Amino acid sequence: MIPLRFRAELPPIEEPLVVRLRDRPTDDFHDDREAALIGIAEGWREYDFNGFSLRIEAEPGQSLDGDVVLAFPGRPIVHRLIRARSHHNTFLVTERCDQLCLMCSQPPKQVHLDLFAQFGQAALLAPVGATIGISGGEPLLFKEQIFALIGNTLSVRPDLRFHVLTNAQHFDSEDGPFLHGRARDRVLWGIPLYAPDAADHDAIVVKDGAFARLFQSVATLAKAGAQIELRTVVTRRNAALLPRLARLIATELPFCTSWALMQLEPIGFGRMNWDTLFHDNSVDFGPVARALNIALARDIDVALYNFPLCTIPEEYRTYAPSTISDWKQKYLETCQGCSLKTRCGGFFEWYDPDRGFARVGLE
Amino acid sequence: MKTLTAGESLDIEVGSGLAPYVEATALRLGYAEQLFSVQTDGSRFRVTARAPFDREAIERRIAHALYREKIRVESAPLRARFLELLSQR
Amino acid sequence: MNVWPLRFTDVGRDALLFCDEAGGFFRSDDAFLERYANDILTEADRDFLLAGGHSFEEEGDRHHVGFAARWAKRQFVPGPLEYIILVPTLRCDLACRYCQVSRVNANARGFDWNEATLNAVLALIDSLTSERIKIEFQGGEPLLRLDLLSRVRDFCRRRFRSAEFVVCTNLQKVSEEAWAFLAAADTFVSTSFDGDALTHTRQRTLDPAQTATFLSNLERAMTTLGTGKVSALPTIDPDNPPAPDAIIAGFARLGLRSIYLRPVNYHGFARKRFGQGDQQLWNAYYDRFIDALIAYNAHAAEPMEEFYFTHCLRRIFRAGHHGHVDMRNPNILGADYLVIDHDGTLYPTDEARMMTRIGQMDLSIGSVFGGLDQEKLQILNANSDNNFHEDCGQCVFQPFCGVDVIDDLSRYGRIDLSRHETAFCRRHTALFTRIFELIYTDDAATRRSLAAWLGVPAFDPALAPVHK
Ligand code: SF4
Ligand code: SF4
Repeated sequence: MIPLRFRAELPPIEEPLVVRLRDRPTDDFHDDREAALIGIAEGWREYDFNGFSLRIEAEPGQSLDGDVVLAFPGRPIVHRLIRARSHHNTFLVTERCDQLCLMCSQPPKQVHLDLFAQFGQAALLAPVGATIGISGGEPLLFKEQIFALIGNTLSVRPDLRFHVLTNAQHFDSEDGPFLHGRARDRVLWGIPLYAPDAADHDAIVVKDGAFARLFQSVATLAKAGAQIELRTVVTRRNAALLPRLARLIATELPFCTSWALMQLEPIGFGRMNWDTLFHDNSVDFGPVARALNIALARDIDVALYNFPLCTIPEEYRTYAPSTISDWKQKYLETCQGCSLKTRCGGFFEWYDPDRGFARVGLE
Repeated sequence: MKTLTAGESLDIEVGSGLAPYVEATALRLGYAEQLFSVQTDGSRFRVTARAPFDREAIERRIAHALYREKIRVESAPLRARFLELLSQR
Repeated sequence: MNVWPLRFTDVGRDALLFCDEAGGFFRSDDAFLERYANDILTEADRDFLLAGGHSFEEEGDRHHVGFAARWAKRQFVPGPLEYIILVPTLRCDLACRYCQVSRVNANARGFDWNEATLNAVLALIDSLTSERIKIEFQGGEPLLRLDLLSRVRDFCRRRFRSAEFVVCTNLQKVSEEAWAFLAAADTFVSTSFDGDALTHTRQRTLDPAQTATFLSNLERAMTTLGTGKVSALPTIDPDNPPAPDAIIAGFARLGLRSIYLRPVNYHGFARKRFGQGDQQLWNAYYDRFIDALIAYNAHAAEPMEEFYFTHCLRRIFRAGHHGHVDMRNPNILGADYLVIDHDGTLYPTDEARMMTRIGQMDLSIGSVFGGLDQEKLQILNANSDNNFHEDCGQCVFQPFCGVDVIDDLSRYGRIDLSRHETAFCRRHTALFTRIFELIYTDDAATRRSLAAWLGVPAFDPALAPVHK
């Protein structure tokens, strides 16, 4: 697993610190926001930050050049907010949520730590052309802050993109101008939709009226020409509904940019409820195949996320890109020498083979 | 089932609900229908086969043509409203 | 509940095909038609219509929004001009029996671009606003003027962010310089191959030795340029067509997966020689060809397609499928593509160029020297959509169909005929009828072909909804 935190010795700070690490100072080095490497000794890297010392413990192989880290006063740790060499950089902006999805990988908590200022600083330091994920909890419980974060960042850094995961319970028609503006071509809204009818969807997200509210939001997004990615975690609760869901998407949401059918992540509620939720597609790929065929034929751009390639029939593998984030990805012993490994996403770090797919590995 | 020979005619009664659509339907069939010709007095059709033709089939075709006309007329406001909405966007 | 207007057509005993204006379709029966037309729908009818996107509860609800989006996506909106067909020369070294392009002999004079024309063409290209361009070199035989091709290509490569070139050549005489020209990654080859050597000789080369040369050039193109860079189109004489199996096998052997069947084109000199073609003969042949494809695909590892059939099939399922310039609605002319003739005259389509050349009707729309003739374009475009046409407005196929003003003009000299009397309409009625027949055929071989043509792993029965 790629570490997202390092032990550190900080300069004397009173506010949370956001700083970009550099192996050597560049021409446009900003000494108020960047720290330059000055030495490595016994696993510790020493940076010069405005004349103060910042020390980080990291394994020799790790490149930290261009990474943006966050530190809090009095806590000997830095968090890697942005890894310059990764495509998977996500700001977890809150742990609050107004849904309680059965398979949530990040179960909500009441406490909220407001770090929007720091996220704003970090975004400005992202590598050129990067996509920044925004996730929670439900980010749009703090809609004003999120819009400001995106708007301000894009006005300075029009090269960046955002991928915001939201339950779409909070868009109103007055959001039109923001959505239609600079954000339109630069933000992808990832929206979970689990079933083709209100009763099933609401039961899965554990919120009455969620389905109806979602469509109200989506109408606002569609009118603004926003980019929408629909996301459906496949579970035993909704597998049989997938063909109908595919039809609904093609019929009522033809403007969405893409649709992701996602295998369950065994963490959070997903881990807790694994035995009742996990749909083993290595045994029953039928409903997933049907959904894919219906949606593809009708021009919906479908992809299978988090599906190990050997668990799906050959003719469907081209639709399953490698999607598990590098920092939480693993391969099993079976994967050694597998001819598909280079384009297969493998498994979640926390995947337990004893409770997972019945059939893994190429025959 | 009766088959009309070419040149043979047949009268087809129209229910009162469809009476308003008879004229327009006859006009349309007059140029679009290859297999028979149509005349009307406003409440019924007189059909003359151009080629041997099944009587039930003719009746079904006429019924379809009448329904097409009825649907077109009755859905016109909905259609107009839809196009108006689109042009506002 | 409000039901969007449904059109319908008879598809067999007590079987009707219904379709709304956004292209949502289903099969049902006369009993349903009666309930629908008389506004006495059952609960089950209502559920079915709502789930299928054929109705809505209130304006702005998800059903309404979805319908509007699908309807809008079906309307073709031309982008900036970025596809230009160039005719640098009318001269050709073959004299195909039905030559479509009104060619002249290879040694004729005065049928090539001169320096002034070339410069005006480049100036026009330079004035475009798009960042990409696609140039198609037609003729005559464009390889006779490799020098002009090179100059255009060099210019476009410098001027645009992305540029693509297609050379429509008879592959009869290809110099080593020409092979080198064609080998570039941004350059593609389109040629005519009438399916088998005999037919090709009879219709084109008139000499088996010449045909052998062509075939070896085609093979060389396939192996050295790559299968992805070469396409070949067979021209079919419906009076004397090669067996479908022979064409399919011939194309498959060469590694060509897509066959775009074209009937002998009754424009240009071809019209003088052949007169009006027999539409029915063509339709019957086309049907047999599709049958043969389905039979072939049932066992083949690599499926084959008929290009236009696939295109129309995709238009049925995909609201935004506008990739073919002959099949769009509205079909706006003189907007996103343009033809420039050997003398610098502008035409909206290649057909328009041929018609004008044989003196049937002047369909030119300006010249590279004077620019586009907007007034003429406006007249041509006044009838570019089928949405409000009296006949099309009652036709189940309207959302998938298109308009071809030039075709109507070329055949009838007018565009106000009842649609059903036009070749365009008859051809497409037959085509769409056939496609829907296949969509509703519950047979493994048919579904395998449909899946291949739609580019999906399998054809799901839910794509062919039925309501009883
Ligand atoms: S064996 Fe491992 S690498 Fe190979 S397809 Fe399966 S999960 Fe992927
Ligand atoms: S041209 Fe003919 S087939 Fe096409 S929409 Fe019009 S009536 Fe229908």
